[in-house]
Amino acid sequence: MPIETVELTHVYMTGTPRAVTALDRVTLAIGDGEAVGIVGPTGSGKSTLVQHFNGLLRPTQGRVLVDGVDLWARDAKERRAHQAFLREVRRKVGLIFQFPEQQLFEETVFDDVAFGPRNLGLGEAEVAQRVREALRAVGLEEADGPGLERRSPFSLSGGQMRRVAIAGVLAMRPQTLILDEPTAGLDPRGRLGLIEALVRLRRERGLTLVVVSHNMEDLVRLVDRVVVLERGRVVLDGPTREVFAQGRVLRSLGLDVPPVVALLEGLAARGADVRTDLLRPEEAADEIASWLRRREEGIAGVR
Amino acid sequence: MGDRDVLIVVKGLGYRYAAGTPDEVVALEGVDLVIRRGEFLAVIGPNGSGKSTLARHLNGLLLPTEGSVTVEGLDTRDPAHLWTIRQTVGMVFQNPDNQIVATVVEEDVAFGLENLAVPTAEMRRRVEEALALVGMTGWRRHAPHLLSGGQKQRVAIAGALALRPRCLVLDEATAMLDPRGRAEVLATVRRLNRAEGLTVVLITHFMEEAVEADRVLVMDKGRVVLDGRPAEVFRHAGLLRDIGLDVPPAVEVARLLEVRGHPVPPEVLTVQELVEHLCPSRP
Amino acid sequence: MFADITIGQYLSGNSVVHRLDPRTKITIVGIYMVVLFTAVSAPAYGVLVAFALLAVALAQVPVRMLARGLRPVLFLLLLTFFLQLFLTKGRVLFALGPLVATWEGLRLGVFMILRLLLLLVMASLLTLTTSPVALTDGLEAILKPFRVVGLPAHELAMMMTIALRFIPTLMEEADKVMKAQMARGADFQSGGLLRRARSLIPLLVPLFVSAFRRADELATAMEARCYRGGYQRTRYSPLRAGPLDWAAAALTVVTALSVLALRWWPR
Repeated sequence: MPIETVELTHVYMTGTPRAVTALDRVTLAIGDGEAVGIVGPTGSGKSTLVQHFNGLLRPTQGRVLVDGVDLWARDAKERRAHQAFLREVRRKVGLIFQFPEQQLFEETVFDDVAFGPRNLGLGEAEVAQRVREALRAVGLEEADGPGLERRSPFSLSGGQMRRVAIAGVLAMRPQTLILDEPTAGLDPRGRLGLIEALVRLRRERGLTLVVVSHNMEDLVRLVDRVVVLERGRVVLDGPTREVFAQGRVLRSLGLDVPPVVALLEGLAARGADVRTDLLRPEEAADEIASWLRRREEGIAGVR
Repeated sequence: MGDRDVLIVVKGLGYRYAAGTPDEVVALEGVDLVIRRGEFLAVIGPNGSGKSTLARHLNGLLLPTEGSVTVEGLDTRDPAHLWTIRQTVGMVFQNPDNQIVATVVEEDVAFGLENLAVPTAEMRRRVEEALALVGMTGWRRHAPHLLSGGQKQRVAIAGALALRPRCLVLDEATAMLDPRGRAEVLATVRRLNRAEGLTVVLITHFMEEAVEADRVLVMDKGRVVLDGRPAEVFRHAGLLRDIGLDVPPAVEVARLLEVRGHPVPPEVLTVQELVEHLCPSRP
Repeated sequence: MFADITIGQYLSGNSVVHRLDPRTKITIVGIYMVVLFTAVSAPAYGVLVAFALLAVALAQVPVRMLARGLRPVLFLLLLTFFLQLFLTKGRVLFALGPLVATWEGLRLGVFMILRLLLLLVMASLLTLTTSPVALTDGLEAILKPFRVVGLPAHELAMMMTIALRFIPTLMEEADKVMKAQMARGADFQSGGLLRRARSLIPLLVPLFVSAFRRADELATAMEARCYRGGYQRTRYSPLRAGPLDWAAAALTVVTALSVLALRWWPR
């Protein structure tokens, strides 16, 4: 489901002496089925940006188009109609905040995941089906046995609670899924499990994916394209490989460089003849091994 | 390396939640550990391995159901010693917000000193000292909610340092921070360990942090599974992966290179070291 | 962007009133309010009004800020005045159809609104010139003697400080939870009163749960720093009363005595 912003500007507390420009004329287009990562130092506007995609925030200037429709073209006059319109947008564009487990509130896992579908006015049979489907999609059903649905969400582990929260959004059957730091605070096993579930989900449902993250390794697995923000402006925008290979720019923004890139760049800086735009450890090992072989055979040169 | 070096002794430590009931959970079992002054110990393990539970025994927040924990010879189970032990072993927790009590940074750093009835003049001196040690002197009059995660954790560290502990335990203190915050906290802790000789126990699930320690303890299901220098511990890549942990990225590439016929010594743990090994700088 | 919320409309400054010890200010306002209710004559009110005007002038608080605090009660003030004007029996002032205004009614009406106004002005001055932290410290100090009768002064003050510390944090969290639930189709705006109240459950439950978790973690962190209640604690910023405070206290006592004298001195 395509999302587009045109000269999007957002100023918090506009008109007061403490006004802060969080986004400055951001023009961006996310195509249907794309998987895009949003990266940037804290305060660069990442969270502000994605909250425009489902109408939670309103632009101070500029436009936001979802599926070709300007979210704010209608206005306050038809308030109720506009509210209904926005609710529909939020169904289609699902947003999962950082530490989403903080939003759990129902007495049972089932009821919490059902909150979204029930808000859509669906019948109980349909709701039940969606709840099961969503729990399965986040990998909760099989691993944790029957009876999970009846348990209180607060009796689950942190990682499980997070999955329940994500299922709650998935149950709305969004066409686009936005995730803000999905693996923050998880241990390595939890992280891997969640990333794998997301990769599978995208493949199975053909979702458009937008992921805000500091974790380079997660992004390597999840997205094909990366947009780098700094102080409300787009600084880089391109395929994952190309963007992450720009170690110098990323470092100057105070961002991490994927360790594999740092390794290859370190070697290249010492004259090794290696590519620096590889992201996975296996690829790096292959590249380094082949260079080492060439060096041993006396063919590899200094750049 | 005599007994004067020994700071904390953990002997046969066991801990059960809800002991004796059908809901009983064995969180720790048979843990033996000696922590020496000036050591930098990292404790890693998957969720549920007992690392946080172990941390909370070091300052008597939890008391053993089996075995014992002594800090500078004082047993944590003796209520008379509890306050001395908590001055010796300071602790910083995971959630940056849920440790800060006061509405102004310097007041919060003073909190522990107020609890110990330290006179006001002495308090001011110690608060200044603590803030300087963590590099937060410029924020002393700020309200805590205006600080970043990394800054809040540094304030929490200062709050612990004000009591002049011999040992600082960080219970997943970087888990909720962004990379910059994590780097700030680690740099602070590293400096305190090297320059001030502070003993550090770092509970973490970031392998890159464990790599910097003098010693790594790996825990799984309440037991200590590995205990040694980082180079020794991270050799056991298979075991680590089995219990659900990562290896540091440089170590992963190093293992892959070995498989492709290019051996790498186990001391190589970081990207820098790997670069140096593959492309030695000219002598 | 709740990062900058200031609670209790405290305006920092360096006026004479700002520099007073909070205990002094709380005591002054307390005495003033008690004495205010004993005033029944024009000269008594005159003294009280003069005192209030002096306080406002010394506090260097923009009158606009004070006026803003009075706006919500404007309706109540006018209502009170008109009720007194028309419902008090006495010599007729003028008549408006069936409604008869009297001189006595006018007098009582003016006194009533004066009383309300003065009350509000003094209370506003207190919160405008004293930071919430200072207020808490002041209250704790004043309540401390009542510990002998079992009042947990320290614990109450600690509760207030922690509450103040967490207000901005909780507001941010509330904002976030609200948005998360809206992203799931929650509607906080439409429907009648009952429906809107029920729609708050997905907002309130997570906040409550989170508040309890915070409390638990905070208590553990406090214990780790040797907190054991209020017994024998020292203070990082002890309150110190100076000559300014004694002067203000003296002035207040004189004012109070004058008002009381005006009431009960035989004429």
